[in-house]
Amino acid sequence: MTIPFPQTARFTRPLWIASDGPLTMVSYARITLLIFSVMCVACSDTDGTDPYALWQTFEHPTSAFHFHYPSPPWESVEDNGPGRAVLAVDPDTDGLGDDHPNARLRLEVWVMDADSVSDVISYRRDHWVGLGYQVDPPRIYWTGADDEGIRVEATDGQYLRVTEVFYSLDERTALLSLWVNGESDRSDLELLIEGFEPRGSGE
Amino acid sequence: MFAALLAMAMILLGVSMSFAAKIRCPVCRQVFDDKVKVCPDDGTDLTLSGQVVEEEATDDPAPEAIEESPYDDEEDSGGGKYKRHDLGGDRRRIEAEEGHVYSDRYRRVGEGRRSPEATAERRKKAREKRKVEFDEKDAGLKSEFEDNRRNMWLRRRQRAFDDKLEAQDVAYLEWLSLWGRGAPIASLGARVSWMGEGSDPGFISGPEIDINILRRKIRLGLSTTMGFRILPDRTDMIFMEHVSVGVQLPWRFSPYLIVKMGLGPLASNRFGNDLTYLVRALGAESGLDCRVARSLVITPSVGYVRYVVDDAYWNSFTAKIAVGF
Repeated sequence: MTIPFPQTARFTRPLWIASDGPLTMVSYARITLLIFSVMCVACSDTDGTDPYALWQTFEHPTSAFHFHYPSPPWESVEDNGPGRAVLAVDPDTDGLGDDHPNARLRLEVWVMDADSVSDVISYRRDHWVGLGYQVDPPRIYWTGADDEGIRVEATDGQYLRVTEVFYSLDERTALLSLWVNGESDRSDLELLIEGFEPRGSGE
Repeated sequence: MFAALLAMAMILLGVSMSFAAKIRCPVCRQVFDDKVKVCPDDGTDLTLSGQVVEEEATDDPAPEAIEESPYDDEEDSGGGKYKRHDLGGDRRRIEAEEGHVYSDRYRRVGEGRRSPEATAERRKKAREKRKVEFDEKDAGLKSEFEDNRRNMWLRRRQRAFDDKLEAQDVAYLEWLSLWGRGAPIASLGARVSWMGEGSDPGFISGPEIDINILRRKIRLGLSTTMGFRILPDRTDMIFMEHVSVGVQLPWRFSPYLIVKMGLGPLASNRFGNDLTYLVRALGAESGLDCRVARSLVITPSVGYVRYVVDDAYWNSFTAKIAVGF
């Protein structure tokens, strides 16, 4: 006995799409459920509540430091070797001169060989003073992971503001220098600075 | 000359002889020869009151005159023959003696004529008969009226009863219709969920529009959500398009359990730049479609959702309240 397929029944109208038999809407529902199951397997494993969950991580080759940055908008503008990172936001922005960043934000991270952090801080202060910056006194700085560092801020009194963070390593000093040209979101900058830590990200 | 006149007279005589004149008494309607001057029956002067009957003379002999008088009561003072005052007689009613009985009228018109008493009696009987007939007819009309009125009220009661039954049927059908309509075709609601960042919960809220394609035991629908993710230093905007599939019990209060998959952009501003992330969402949700009226469904629901952006995920509780039809 042949039972005719209910051609006119609502939602059970046969739909022939690359199939040996008629697909009904109920079949589509089952297929959708199967797709859901497949998508569930494709879930990620990074906790999104981490502020740096959507940011990239720069890892120093020797695990001397690491820091996080969102890309975009941050992008690498110079290639100075594996242990040095130079990033910028809107690098096409017209600079104020040779000694000023050609970007709205500029970030440079590297490791300097020095006997002590004080020597590095003195060197950097002289550098900024020589460029006409007003440098604030250094102050102790703690990251979210209770890493103690020294933070120095300087400004040219008009547009530019520089924040540098120093971490003492064994006979070396990890240095982050953030150059801000104009106004920018303070909270994001603080989050960026806090993400700079003197060890590998997996440690 | 004389001879001519004589001939003419003879001609006229001949003509008159060929057409014998007849006269009819206006009282007794008896036809007499025109030679009869006074009606022998009632004494009417036929020369004055007689009606000429013009008929062609026949050879039939004229009827014989009735010799006997209808009035043979010679002793009756009024009998014998009529003495009509209008005909010069001496009959005078006004001169009659008081208490005189004019019995001659009865003799003249016959015993069959109705007397005034009989007429009054007859009229009385007629009135009584008419009254009886009227009463019977009136009673019939009243009865018919009562029947009609009773039938009218019966019909009205029946109609009211039918209307009531029909209304009850309609109400019952409407009530029944609330129980089998399944999920709403479309609904508009408000959804909340969370995508935390750091110590902030990252509260997301916004409107959501649902369209259900399958609304019976299998529930298949689409939903569109536009929400705002509130963070201390910024506000992100999220737009998600979901597909949901699940099962439900299509009653008036339809509990359902669905899984949802969503996809959409998350717009944010970081370091002064507008960024867009692609958000995927996968979750399960349970709710209750409360069909308050035929075209009004209130749906509270709670569920779990997992947002995924790149390789980061957020597990969140989600809730929604929607109004649909």
